[in-house]
Amino acid sequence: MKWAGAITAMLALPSSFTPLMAEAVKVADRLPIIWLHMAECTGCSESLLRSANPSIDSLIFDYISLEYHETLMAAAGWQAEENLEQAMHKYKGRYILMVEGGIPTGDQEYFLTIGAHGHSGKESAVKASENAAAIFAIGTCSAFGGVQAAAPNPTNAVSLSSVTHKPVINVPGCPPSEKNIVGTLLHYLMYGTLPALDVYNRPKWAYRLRIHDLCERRGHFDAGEFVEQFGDAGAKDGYCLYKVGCKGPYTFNNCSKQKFNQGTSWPVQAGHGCIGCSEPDFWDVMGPFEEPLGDALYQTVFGGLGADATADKIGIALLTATAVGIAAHAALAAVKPPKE
Amino acid sequence: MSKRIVVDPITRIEGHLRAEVIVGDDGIVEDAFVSSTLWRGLEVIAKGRDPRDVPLIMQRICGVCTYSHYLKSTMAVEDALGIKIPYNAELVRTLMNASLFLHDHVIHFYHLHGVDWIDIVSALDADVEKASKLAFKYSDNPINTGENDLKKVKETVAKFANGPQGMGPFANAYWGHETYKLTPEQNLIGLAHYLKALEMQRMIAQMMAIFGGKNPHPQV
Repeated sequence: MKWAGAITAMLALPSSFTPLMAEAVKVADRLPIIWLHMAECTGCSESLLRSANPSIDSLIFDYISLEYHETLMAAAGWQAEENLEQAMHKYKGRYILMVEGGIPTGDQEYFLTIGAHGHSGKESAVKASENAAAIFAIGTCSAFGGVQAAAPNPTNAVSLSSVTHKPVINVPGCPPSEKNIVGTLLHYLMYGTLPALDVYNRPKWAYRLRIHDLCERRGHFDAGEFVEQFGDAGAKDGYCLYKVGCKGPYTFNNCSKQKFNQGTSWPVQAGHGCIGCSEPDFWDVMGPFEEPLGDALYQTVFGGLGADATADKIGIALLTATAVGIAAHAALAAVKPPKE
Repeated sequence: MSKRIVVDPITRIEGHLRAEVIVGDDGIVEDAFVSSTLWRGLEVIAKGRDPRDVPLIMQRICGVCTYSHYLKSTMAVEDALGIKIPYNAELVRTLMNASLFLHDHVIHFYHLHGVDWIDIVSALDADVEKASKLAFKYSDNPINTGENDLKKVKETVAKFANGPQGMGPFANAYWGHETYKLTPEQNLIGLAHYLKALEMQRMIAQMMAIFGGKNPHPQV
């Protein structure tokens, strides 16, 4: 099981855990999973399909029992609904619930219905969460509301944790990398318990560090070498993208280390700044995505502090010094995102 | 008397879809209604925002055909503002669109649409040797259909199908229905390709990630 070592390292466990990891996933029954789609784009499901270590086919056939997943399951209509009912009954208290997508609520609850009887998305999410062994909110939509919850939030979409009283592990990202989704699952498979979490209930092994901290362009930031506009000489030399809007300094995720698509690349490597997609309300507070937050920093929902106040205060001091130097360039956006 | 048949959720698509069909006594469809049962209002959300942010928002319409909405909404913004893009940008866009085209076809053909005509249970009755030879009828260079490959596929799926936990995503489907027209051997070839295609799509997605940073939802 050659991927066991890589996963053990990613979860920040000592290498002596590698054989244990391999053993744990072999011994266990296939872990029953119910995956629900709410107000979503299926991007998180697609991201799951990109899993290489372990591969998605070995996941499906060897490690998990994917009881309900609308994008992959062969059954449709009432047969699909029956599968969901049976899985919730048969694996009561033992299944993992993974939810993708935000959840319309209030007067707008019926902007999403599922099944012949027209139950709302909220109803099915709440019902499935009642007897789950663990609940993972996959993607920023289900973790924090996501794109449909951006101002003016026409469907009153909210996160999964706002509709259930059960503890929810958030695995945000738009979409989260395949490693973060599968890593969260394997962590549970191995320990049978929930991982250490940060203030936004994100697993610390993945969301502990800022993108900025391990960014491959960090040296250029420290040296004051910035891309001034896309396509300039600095862009060709791989300079720091802060001035063209990179939100890496405010975003907690492991993209700069684990990257996407089996480590092929990540947005900053491809030459576009981070848009902060694993942070709450990033569509409203991180935009415009191609301008630095600059003075806008203190207007964010985090009060400019992010998830790790102490470390970020230092970061802000640094950024403020930088911001003074670049104030001339950090022109205010012509169009501000609408306020609620 | 006419009968109303509701299929909801329609699975193996992106999003939420419901179909209602009215069938007469003679088995002939009298009327049909299709509705998409989710509305998110991305058009409303886009209003009043920085135009550069809008393509990123519109990309979230679909994570399966991820790049197409990004590309078209970028072009819409450029059209509105009269922006001409450089030749290099055109090249990168074409390459990314081509990788999406390739990727989406594989996913759609095998993983979304495939099980509508590949009977997985029937594949377990296939003669491996016959199926392996048959594959040459369809292609000079068949993939993942050597005798050993097919044997492995059959073993994996048989173990899965006969195990105590059932068939997971393939449970309670329409296996054995008369509208599945393929022979067991043809089904086994299809099943072998279904599995191989899971690996291929991962590689194709890497192509988009080279230019776009990640897939789904590239960001350039």
